[in-house]
Order: sequence, then C-alpha cells, then structure tokens
Amino acid sequence: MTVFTATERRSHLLSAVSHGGAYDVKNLTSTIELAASASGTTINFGYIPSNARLLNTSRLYNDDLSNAASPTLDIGLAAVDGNLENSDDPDAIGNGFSLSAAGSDNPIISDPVNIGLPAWDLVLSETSDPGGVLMVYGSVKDAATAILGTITAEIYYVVD
Amino acid sequence: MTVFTATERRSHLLSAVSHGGAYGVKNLTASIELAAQATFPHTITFGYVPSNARLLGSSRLYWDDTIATSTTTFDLGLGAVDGNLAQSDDPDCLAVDLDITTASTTGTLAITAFADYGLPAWDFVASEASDPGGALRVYGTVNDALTSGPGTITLELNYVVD
Repeated sequence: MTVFTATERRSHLLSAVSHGGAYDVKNLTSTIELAASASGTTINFGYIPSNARLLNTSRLYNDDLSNAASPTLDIGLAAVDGNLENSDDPDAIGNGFSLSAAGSDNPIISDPVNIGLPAWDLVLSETSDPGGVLMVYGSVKDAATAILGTITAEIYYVVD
Repeated sequence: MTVFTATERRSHLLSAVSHGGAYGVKNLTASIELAAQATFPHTITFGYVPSNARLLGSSRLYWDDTIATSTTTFDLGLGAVDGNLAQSDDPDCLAVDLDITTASTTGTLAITAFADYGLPAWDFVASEASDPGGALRVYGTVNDALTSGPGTITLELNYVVD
C-alpha cells in the first residue's frame, strides 16, 4: 500500500498541540445592495492580508439581478498602495458567478487547487508575497445588471 | 466604470494587517437527540452567544430523516437572557419554516437572509434598536405537527465578536 502525504497549507511554525495546531480562522463578511449596473462595474468587498490563506468555506450569495441578459460576477484581488508586482487580477479567486439567477452558498474559490494558498499566490504571475493587504473585489461582466439586489461575500482565511 | 464599496461587517477597530484584519471565528455547536413529542410546538435551547456576536452565513443546521412526519417545520431564533432584550423573544429571526421532514445531511443555511450576514445577534431580533449587552439564547422551535423521533438536530453557529 502506498502512503502519500498531502501538502498542508498552514503555518509550519506551530505544532499540532500549540495553539491547536493553527491560528484562528478569520472572516470578512461584506454585503451590498447593488443598483442596476453596467458591465465593468466593480465592488470593493474589503481587504485581507496579502498572506491570508483563503478557505473553501468562503461563499457567495446573490439575488437575481437580471430580467433578460446574463451578467456574471468575477471575484479577484487588487493591489493596495501599488504593492503587487503584477496587474490586479479581476478573477483571481473565482469567476463566472451567474447574476441572472439567485445564488446561494456558492464556493468563491473556483479552482480547488487554490484552497489554502495565500492570497498573493492567486494573483496571476505574482511570485512572492508583496506584503501589506490586498483588496477583494468583484466585477460585473458580460452584461449589465437590471434589478436592485443583494450580493454578500463571506471570505474565510487563516494567517500564518 | 462605476466603483462601489460593499459594507464590511466586522470590527473597524482593527486594520487589515493587525490580527489579520479580524478576530477569530467562534463556534457554537450543539446537538440534540429529540424523542417523539406528544405536543407541539416545543423549543430547543442550543446555547448562548454574546449579544454582539456577528452571525455568519457559514452557520448550518443538520437533521436526520427520522425526526419528523407530515408537515413538521422548524424555526431558529433568539431569546432574552435575564430579560435583557427590550423586545420580545424572536423565535424565527434566523430561519423560518424549515422543512425537517426530509434529512439535511449536507447542511441547511441556519440564517436564511444573506443580506443580514455579519450583523450582530441583537440586530436580528425584531424591533430591537440597540445592543442590550449580555448573552442571547439561540433556540429552535418545532412547529405544526408531531415529530416521530427519535431524531437528531445539530446546529453549527459561526460568529465573530468585534
């Protein structure tokens, strides 16, 4: 029988007995009542440390914001005070969430391989932690939204 | 291009770099093996949270398929402790009329209104206008029909205190 070891994505400074093996899970909950908005509109959901390890309990909730077209929402990361070496990445975390139907409990991290990686590592081509904080932002894509409605993002993360 | 800013529901006393921008997520997990009940409604105390606990959308309810027959529904709400609420206890301020006649093994949202995620517990209570301080009781109500039982109901309530 072959025994593999998965890659732990948490601080290696803590043993499993000190601090229970990990630091606390943190949360950024943000909500917006979004009026009808053109494609390209962005929403600032708040800030997280650049080394925040994003967890898959992070979820997106939204009302149906369209009566005809099919707008979508991407969730990305942007520089704060120019700290990223590369460009802001509008779909670093997740992409293509439908805004033309109500959505509930949708995992924000689109690719499971990214679960537990530090935020900076999700930014395209970024190769090292720039330090500071990053902005979590959403972008309306593909079409305008037409109906006033709520979007709530719950981001969970751990900082080493 | 229009740029909006969403409302952050967390302490503004912390910058995004100190303490990782937020205090740790807390959890109240409570489970009950509920026997068949001869009368209804009946209530279940799941425990207590600080009145200013910001309740999170990752909170879930679980129940098995032996809990109920017919049209049994379940509400989740908040009640006063030592009379601290100015208003009445609110039995369904978190979730209302959940259908517990079929199992929920992967979890059902314990807080239905996602526009309210991150609000402090006291603010979920109907007409409560300010933080009464102290703790609030998290309780469920089984309504409308008899439970067949025995069956399990488990609540995992996640929250943050500023």
